Amino acid sequence: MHDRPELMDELPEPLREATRLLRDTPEAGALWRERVLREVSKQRLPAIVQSEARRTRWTFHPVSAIAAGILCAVIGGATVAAALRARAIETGGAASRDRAASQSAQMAPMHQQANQTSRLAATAESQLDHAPVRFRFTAPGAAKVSVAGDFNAWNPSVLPLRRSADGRTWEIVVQLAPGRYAYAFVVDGKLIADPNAPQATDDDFGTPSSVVMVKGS
Amino acid sequence: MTVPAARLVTHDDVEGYKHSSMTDAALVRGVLAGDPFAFAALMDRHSGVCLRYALRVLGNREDAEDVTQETFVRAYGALGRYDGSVALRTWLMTILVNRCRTALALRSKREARIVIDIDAVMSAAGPGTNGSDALRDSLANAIARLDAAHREAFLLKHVEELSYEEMSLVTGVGISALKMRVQRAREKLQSWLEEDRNA
Repeated sequence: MHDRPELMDELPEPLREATRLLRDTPEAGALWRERVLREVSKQRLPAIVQSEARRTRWTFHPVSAIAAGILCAVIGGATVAAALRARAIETGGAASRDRAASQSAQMAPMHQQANQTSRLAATAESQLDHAPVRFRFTAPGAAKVSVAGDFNAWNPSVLPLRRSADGRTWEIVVQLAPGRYAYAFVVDGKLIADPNAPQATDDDFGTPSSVVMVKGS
Repeated sequence: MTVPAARLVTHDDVEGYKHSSMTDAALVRGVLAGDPFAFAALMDRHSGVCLRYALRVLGNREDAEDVTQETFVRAYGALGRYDGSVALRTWLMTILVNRCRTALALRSKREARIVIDIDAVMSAAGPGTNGSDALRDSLANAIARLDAAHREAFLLKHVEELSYEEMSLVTGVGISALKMRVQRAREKLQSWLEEDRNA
């Protein structure tokens, strides 16, 4: 239990004192604990999922709209071509067959283009919310610098920085989804906060770390 | 390369000790990575606070334990969605507050009025001097007399010590409305405590 004077000041006596007494924490009990853990053990291991906001948010981005429009036009064209070909086959004739063949030949690259467009659209969609974030650290004497943070599970080996031409600074650009990330540089094995970024005031680990906020579009 | 121990999950030492020194964020990562001890450590850290709130809201130990159990079971299943944007405790309180509301709604359908097991509530709170016991009992009685919305607001603000922003996230109620509820609850409780003292 801890006292917070600024909070206590809001309450008059004797309410203040009585409220302080209510903060005693009851014991959960070993049997209760066991019951909960047993219940939990029946569940599957929770999996990391994308945030609800990203998954359920509906946005219309110009690139997506344009890509969807092109796709619809291509599908429409392919449908018309298929109908024409079917009619040509029914009526027979070499000229019709030649025309259909040339239309198919024209449609093949259009199909490929449609596939490519839909792939591009899907890629663009997935990267729509990501923004490039440049991490830069000055350490002329360092042998190795990387960045570790909430965006890479604090793994110091997956995002090594590249040394600049003059050898003084290290840099990397990382694509990050909107959000708040705590991070630090790992300089020759030692965690160092970014001197050019706000310090994380709520760092759980008791080690220096900084904060970067990535805004959405 | 050395990385501070706080950032590494190791199993060299006694599990309980290592997990007790790990932060919420590290424990959540541990759960998601399949660490069998990490969730127990999270529970040990937060169950008392959750039980405390549930006891004050529901008024009896059995219901409070059930609701707290539901909270942790749900939290386990949803841990993958916890993105660290709020403190884990706040996140747990969101689940707990909703569970308590559901429990109260179900109970009110069954009973004409809520029965408060004051002895259970008092014994759960721990020992104190005679004077402080009486004061605590008096306030607990008074809180039980509040309607659910005012009780919830007062407990979250002054017992659980959440900020109004956190309370808004937890309850889904606007900050202005919460402030009014807390103020009204304070006035009522103060008045009832005075009556108790003068009686």
